[in-house]
Amino acid sequence: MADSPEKNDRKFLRFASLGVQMAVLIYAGSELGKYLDAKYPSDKNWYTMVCILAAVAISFYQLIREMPKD
Amino acid sequence: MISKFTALSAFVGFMFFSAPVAAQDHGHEDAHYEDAHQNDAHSNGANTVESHSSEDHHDTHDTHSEGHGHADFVPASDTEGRKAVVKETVKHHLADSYDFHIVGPVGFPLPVILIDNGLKIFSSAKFHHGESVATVDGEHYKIHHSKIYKTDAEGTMLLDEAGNHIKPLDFSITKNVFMIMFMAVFMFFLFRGVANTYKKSLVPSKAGRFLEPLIVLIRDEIAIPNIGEKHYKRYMSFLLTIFFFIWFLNLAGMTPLGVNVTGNIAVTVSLALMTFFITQFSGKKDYWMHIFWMPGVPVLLRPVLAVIELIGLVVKPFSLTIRLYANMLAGHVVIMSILGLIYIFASYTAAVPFTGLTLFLYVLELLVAALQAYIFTMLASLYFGAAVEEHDHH
Repeated sequence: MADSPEKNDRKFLRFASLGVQMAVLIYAGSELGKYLDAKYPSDKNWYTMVCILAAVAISFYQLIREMPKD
Repeated sequence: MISKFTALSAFVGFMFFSAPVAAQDHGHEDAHYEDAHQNDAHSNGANTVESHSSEDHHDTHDTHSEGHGHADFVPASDTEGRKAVVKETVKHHLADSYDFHIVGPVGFPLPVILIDNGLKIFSSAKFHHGESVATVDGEHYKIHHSKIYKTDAEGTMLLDEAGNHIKPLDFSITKNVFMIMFMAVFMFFLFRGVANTYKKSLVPSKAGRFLEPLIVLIRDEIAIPNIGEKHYKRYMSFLLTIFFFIWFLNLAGMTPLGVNVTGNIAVTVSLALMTFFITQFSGKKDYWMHIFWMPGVPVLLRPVLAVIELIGLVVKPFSLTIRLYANMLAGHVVIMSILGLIYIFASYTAAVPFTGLTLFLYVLELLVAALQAYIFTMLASLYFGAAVEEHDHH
């Protein structure tokens, strides 16, 4: 099959989808953190920080998983 | 069959001309309403400029919040007032509505179906474009901000014990529902007609000549590479349906009718949920194993990865939803806002470049309409592919 150019196209679109996915995930993380901080107040909004960082970590995990393995 | 293909080409041609037509639309309304509202303008003329503009602002806001969609005449010097008109017009064109408004006084009402002490079915003409209270079997309803509320006979909205306005359970055939049904029926007859032509000869004819390359594209470029030769046939009907459904509705959104189905988050959520459930129900052993018990990593890490994979599973339909919804909505808002600038600046030096810019963005949006349908189909097939994939264990 004429493999290479088509495959590159598909990879490209796969990453285009990841952008939105990361954004949604990080936003959801921040909302969850804000909710938890409102419910259990602390001096430094720990939940928001932890949730956002966790969301970023998860989205990077997803990004790296989508990378071509070979 | 000829008629269907002619209808399709006429539809596409119509869209190409609709941008300038939409640009003219407000100009006509102005001329038309100038006479009708001369009295208003005269009475306002006595006031100072500041109070004049703020009053106009309120006037336009009030008329539009009733869902009527026509602009009062706002003088060109009143930029703030005109901005408010543009804002309201954009909002009106993006919103779902209970009647199908075409142009000026032309349009038709759609059925309203409410469940509120029994089933109530009546025509939305009873609302008189949201201006009056509809009385059905002793109950009163009013449209407020494009939603139906329960009222008393005078039109005061009723409150429940918690102090919220009462909304009856609403199953109405609104403009969006109508367009979805129309497109479903249109697609059914179009593709059945195309399928029938292959009984006579395998050479595509009529609409098939246009549609066959697209169907083959979905099969050869999307389904087979992502899902695989073995399983792709099971998903072809869904992928083709979703591609043409989204594409045709995106194109319908490019007409000046203000059809905004794919820019409605409820519609895109439904499409994404269908994709989600098909993916989960066709998930094979390998798919679930890669989510809950990832092979090839230390056992201690596996529960952690399971949580992360599950989050990824849930986020996917959200990203599908938001991509389509945000792209279509943003496209409509940008085009209408730039058209609105012609009206706000009210001069030929502004009108010429902004018409050109609108036309350019319009052609871009036609591309986006196809691209978003393509991406949605592509991602759906990627997810299906992941669900049926059989790994050779690494």
